[in-house]
Amino acid sequence: MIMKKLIIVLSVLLAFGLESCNNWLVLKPESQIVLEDFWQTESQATSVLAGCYRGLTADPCIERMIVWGELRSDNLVAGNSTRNDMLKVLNTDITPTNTYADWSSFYSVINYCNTFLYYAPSVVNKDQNFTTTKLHTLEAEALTIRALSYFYLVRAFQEVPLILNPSISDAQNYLIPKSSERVILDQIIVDLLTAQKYAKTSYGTAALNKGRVTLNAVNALLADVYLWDQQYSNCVDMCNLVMADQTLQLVAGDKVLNNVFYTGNSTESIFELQFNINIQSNNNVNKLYGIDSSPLGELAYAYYLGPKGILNPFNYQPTTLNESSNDIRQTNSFGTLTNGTGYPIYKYSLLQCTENSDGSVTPVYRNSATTANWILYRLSDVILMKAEALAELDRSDDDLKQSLNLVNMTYLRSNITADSLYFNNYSDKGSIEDLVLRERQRELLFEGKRWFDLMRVVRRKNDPTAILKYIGPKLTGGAIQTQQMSVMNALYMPILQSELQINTNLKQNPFYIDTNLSSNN
Amino acid sequence: MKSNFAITVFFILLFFPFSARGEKTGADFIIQGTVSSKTDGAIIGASVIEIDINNRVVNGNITDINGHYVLKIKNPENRISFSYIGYVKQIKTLGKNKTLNVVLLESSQEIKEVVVLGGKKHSEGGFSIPKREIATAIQTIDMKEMEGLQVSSVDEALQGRIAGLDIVSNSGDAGSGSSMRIRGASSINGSSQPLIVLNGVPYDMQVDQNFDYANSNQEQFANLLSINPDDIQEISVLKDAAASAVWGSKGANGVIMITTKKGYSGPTKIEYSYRYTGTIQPQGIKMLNGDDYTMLMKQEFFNPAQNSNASNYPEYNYDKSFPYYQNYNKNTDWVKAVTQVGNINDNYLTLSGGGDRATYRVSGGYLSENGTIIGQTNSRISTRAYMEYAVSDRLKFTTELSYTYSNYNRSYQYNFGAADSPNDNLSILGIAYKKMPNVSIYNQDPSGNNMPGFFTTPVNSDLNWDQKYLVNPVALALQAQNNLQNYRTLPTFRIQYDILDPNKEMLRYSSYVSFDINNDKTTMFLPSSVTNYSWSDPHYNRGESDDNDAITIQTDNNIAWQPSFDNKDHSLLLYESLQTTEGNSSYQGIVSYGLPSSLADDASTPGYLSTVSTNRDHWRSMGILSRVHYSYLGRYIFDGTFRRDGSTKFGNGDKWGNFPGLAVKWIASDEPFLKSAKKWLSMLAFRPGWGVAGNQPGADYLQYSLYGNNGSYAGMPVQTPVTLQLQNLKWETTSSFNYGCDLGLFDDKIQMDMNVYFKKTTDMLFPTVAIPNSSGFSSLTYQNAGSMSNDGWEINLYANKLVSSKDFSIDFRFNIANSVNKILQLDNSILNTYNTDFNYQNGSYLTRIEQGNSFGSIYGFKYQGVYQYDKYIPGSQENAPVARNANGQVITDEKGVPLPMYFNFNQIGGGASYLFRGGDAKYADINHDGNIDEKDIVYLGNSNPLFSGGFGSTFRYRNFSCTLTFNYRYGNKIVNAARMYAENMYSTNNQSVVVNWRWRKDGDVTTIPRALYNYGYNWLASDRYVEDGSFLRFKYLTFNYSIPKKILKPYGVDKFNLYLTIENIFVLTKYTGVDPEIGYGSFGVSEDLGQTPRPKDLTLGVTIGL
Repeated sequence: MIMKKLIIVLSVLLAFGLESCNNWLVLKPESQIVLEDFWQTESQATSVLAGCYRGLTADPCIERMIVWGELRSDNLVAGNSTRNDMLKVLNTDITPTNTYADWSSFYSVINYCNTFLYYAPSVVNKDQNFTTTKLHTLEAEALTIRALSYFYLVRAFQEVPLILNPSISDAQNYLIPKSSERVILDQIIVDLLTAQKYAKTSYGTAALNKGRVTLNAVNALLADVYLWDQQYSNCVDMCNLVMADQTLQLVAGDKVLNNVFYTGNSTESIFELQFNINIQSNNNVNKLYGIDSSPLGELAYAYYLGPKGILNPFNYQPTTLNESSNDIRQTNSFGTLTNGTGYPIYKYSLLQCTENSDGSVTPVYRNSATTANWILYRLSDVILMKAEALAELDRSDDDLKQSLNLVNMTYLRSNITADSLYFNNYSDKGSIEDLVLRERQRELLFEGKRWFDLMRVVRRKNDPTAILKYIGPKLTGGAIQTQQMSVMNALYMPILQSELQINTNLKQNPFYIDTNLSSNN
Repeated sequence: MKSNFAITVFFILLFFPFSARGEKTGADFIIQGTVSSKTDGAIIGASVIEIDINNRVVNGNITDINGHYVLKIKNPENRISFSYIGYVKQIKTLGKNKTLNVVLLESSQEIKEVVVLGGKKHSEGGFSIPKREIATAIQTIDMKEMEGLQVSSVDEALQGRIAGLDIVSNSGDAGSGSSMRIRGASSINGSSQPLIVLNGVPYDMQVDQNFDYANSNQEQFANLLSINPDDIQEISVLKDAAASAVWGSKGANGVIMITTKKGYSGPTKIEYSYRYTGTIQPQGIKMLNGDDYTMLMKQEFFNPAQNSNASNYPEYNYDKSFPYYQNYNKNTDWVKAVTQVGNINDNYLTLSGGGDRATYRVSGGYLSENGTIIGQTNSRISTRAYMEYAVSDRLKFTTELSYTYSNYNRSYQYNFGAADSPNDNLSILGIAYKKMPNVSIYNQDPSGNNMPGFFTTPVNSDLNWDQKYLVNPVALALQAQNNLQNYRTLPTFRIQYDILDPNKEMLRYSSYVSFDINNDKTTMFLPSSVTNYSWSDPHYNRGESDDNDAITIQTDNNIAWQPSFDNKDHSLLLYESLQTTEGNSSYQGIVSYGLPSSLADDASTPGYLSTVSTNRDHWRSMGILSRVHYSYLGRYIFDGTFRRDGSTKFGNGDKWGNFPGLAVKWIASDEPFLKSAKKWLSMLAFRPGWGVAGNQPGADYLQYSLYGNNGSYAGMPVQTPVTLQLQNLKWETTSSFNYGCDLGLFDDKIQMDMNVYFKKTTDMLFPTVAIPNSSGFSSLTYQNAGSMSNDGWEINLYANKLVSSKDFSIDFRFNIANSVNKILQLDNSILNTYNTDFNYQNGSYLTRIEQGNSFGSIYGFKYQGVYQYDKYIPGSQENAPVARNANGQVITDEKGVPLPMYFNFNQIGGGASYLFRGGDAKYADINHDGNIDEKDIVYLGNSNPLFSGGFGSTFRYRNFSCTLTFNYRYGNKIVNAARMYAENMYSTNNQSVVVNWRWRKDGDVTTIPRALYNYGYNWLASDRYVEDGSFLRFKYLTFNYSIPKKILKPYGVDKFNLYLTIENIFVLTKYTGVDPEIGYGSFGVSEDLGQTPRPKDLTLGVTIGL
């Protein structure tokens, strides 16, 4: 009797039980959302897109924009308690174990973009408010951010794995080999041309218009890519599109330091990463460029370019001509320590420069409790890109003259008392090229641009030794180091050792394979 | 949900029969009578109870002052039970009688030890089989053996007693736990700790998913500390997978089953025991005094620079014009200053007893401990209640409740100075060994007398950072706070019901619900008076507070059926069980600094908030278990287990894991053809077995790709994918074959069991497996990435009353075990991640995992002493740094000039090359290329012992007994890092007195190189610091005396025992460190970092029973 009942109860239990056991064993986290429940609404899609920007503002990302874009150049030397790995980059003595060979922060951004581009289209069917038009404008932003990330990678490493799919699970293959520079550049251009079609021109507020990708930002980036890829007429076209926008205005020369770099989101800004002291502070600027409590940061203006330096772009005297002798950008970009032992960086770290009656300036440092936006593109950069492209085109004197005029636009706003530069003094392609390069150095000092400017020169000439003219005085390693610079590959970064160990399909930049050579001091 | 439903159904089922029977009543009628005893006459207060056919109580009354009773009877077919404490119970049937007079007999003569030969049962919940029919590798310890030992926790008691169980105390600090391994580690990076099962309920400890098992020392929560050894009746260790398959996914590392004592019917017994233990710390490395230290520093700074200004620090100069002169002219023995004689006071009170229906055992204790390091204290209050109530012979309820509160004051640890420095997370003792000895403990007045307040090195001192930021260890021990309070409550409710009459056929349902509620609260405070940081530093008045709450609910519903066969040759037991586990945990931590004062030391005080972290977890698992035990003729035994486990930690594809186990046993000695040998061969059995057990990852929600909040950008909220979905994640499984043999000689006077096993772990779970950064992620949280094996053997021998006369007997026991582990296969990505290149730094041993090799291997250079001379002169100054070929001849260049010895000539890894000089350490140039580099690194040994075990003996003479216990390990290598840092003469840390024999000038013959501050390669990882860790430890010596009952009886005392235990009497070892018992670090390498050595103890105890 009892046995029977028991058996019945047990079998019922078993039947119901086993089926619902699986359900009982499904638990979802309380503080996070799982993929299956995500991608339902417009706000979720937008929040992942915001994550792409957030990824760019991460410390390692900005740090690499500065390290890759400027540290090996003639602009910078070591400042106060500089990190060892940074010292090695400054001295262009880079080994595969150097932390700045780590590209993960950019790939993290790329993965956010890939994730967005993969899943966002599905939201259109789930959320009625999320129209295809809205989707396209958001996609334009994601494509641009991904292109920007790959552009940094291709300039720093030349060849990297090109990954366009999101990383979702451990079932995927992550051992992706490198793609050629050509393939990556083509992908960047394709993505940007798509973005160009849908990118918004305005988001309503100043912070968003500068902080998010606008059509101007797409065009400026595309101009930069074309310039790197030596497609000069395309570059000029893109610059023209940007310069045609009347809302972009150069800020007066004496207001640049405060308006552009301290207050931020100025009228000449095209795309700048937004920081907020409560959410994400731009710590790199504080640490590397200096702050009120520690005016000399880890980096300093190169000593041999100092006021008396012969290579100083602010004191260029090839003949009787005296270019930039009274340039406000010199007083506003860096200072001199009272004991003359270093040149602390002013750009990004000052609130303003107060001019004294005797003509000297007093730097007023930004308080450490404030933060700076990081400028990726601004109007003067685009103007000088166009100048560079025209000089390279050199279809006629007209191109060169136009180029000189463009240089004068940025030159004159910072040299109010000076005369404009005349074509008589810069009448051939070579001197215009040099002038543009010098003007870009003066204008974009410490903005993470100089090394790439120099690399463009080298790439054009296909001669790595061309860079020695600029960074030669900085190299302390003697003949061996100079010799190393005779290889094109040496100008690109090595792939991080640990990455090579894990991703067996990766091949190291050939220059860094012989470790005996690269680690010589 | 489902389990609740199941419970409800079973409850309905349970009460069904009663309600049906309860209504079948006849006419009530009354009986009466008297209860008396022959000697004492009428018994007052005897119970007279009407019981039904299942012995369920129907009605009852007690006798009055004349021993008279009246009872209203519900059913004339019921019986009446008469009982009184101290008398034998009588049960009478009623018949037609309305008067029942009963004479009870005194029971005192009748309580005798009831020993049923061969009938001792081994019980795991409802599954209970005779001990001799156990077919798996199980070893059991009766805690009676332990009586008289001062053990503050179970793990200490087990040490050296179980073959194949390797227990190493993490350190001698008060309240720190042990690391245990049964038959070697089955996992490289995960937990290798066995599962603890308390009275049939898994006693899981909740650890944070980021907990690093391999590298933890003090922080490791002492899991077993919260079970009081006094409450334990028996401990069984399940060693092979055939046995541990019962625990399925949790049993891969073996299982330790603990059974606590229960109450027995009879008058209430009171037992009180008290123990006092005094502990002292053994002498560690002898360090330099202040004078020798400053002399060393002078040389150490001078040597690399060859400039006497390099050592011009006022702190070393004994210059009276230096304002702190009085603070830096001492000879302080810091080790002595931070150590003390520790003591433990342990009180424990137990009440037990019961009647027919109910038994109980209630116990409670208070332990307080002062560690051998100043400032370390530990106090524990523990209570345990066990109550059993039998409603009838068939239905029984059991309640267990234990509550433990422990309060540890531990040493404060934090990073002094830079990360990755040897000053990382130093213990108090670690600081004492490093702290410069010429500095004073207290502030000094101008004439050198102590003033109030501890002396802290001023922040503007010119000393190098390692000494400058090294705090005063006495101040740290006494003023900084690191307190852990733990509350743990474990209520368990059980019900057991025999569906059929248990005397005819067993069909038993049992069930339990068990809760484990665990709260940890950690409070830490580092007062500014201990450090020299400025007020804005995150270490200034820094407070930390962590709260960890966890609750685990476990249920088990099972049915055991033992069909009765007509042919008694067959015996069968079937068992089916459904188990569920559900757990919740939450964690909150807050760190703040710049708190206003040392008086408001909680992290919640307004200050600068440094970090806030929170974590929540929720998990479930379910197991369905079937077991069968069959025996034919009592000598052919078959055991089968099948368990299916499901867990929320896996995705749909691999949610369930199957864990089968099979074992057979043949008791050959019971065969007729061995009958003739029965005289001497009392037991010969063979038991081969096979089983699979598993392991699950330590983290939850791995099967999902998770999206989490990540602040905002320009006012837009940010959500990003934070983890990769682990689709391929599987259970880690360990399958093992065990071949066992039991031998009993001379009526089991000598018992022996032997096991040989072959264990293989597949789909090993690896946490944090690096993947290419180009994926946007740096690692997979977990990956199944390889397999490894653990093969070994164990022999356990027990001689019971080896020598025995009327008053005297000797027992002897011995065990020995060996386990060899080998990595069979590992994913390349993991090998590449872990096997990094040599970094060309001093002191870094290369640890590699290689397929086909065991882990725990140590690689390094071969040390060959010191170069006696700087310049090579053939014949007279041979021992100088010059390159030599394979025949020992000096290699010269084309001009005949001897080639010098270099370190890292090729400057690999970014380091500079170094030219060896006289007085430098001499390493074997294996490939004779005149260059010491990674090609000269050789295999130096392995941290796995060849064998380990223990032995001991008990002598008894009348009421006096003496027990000796030894444990040993043989053939393992230890990296003596403590000695390395104490002899390297590379930093400004204090050094061992051995460095007084250092090379000082050309021609010195010594094995200690010259002193070089931050220069040279005199302490490369070499066999100089790799030592043989073999040891033999005389662990316990216990004397026990119980005062004879005859003497006690007049005082109404039942039991009075006195004992004395001396622990850790001596260690025979070649190891030069303080204590050769070192746990396993990462990759299984034992590294002696100078943790608090285990103390020498002396315990006096007394137990009184009433």
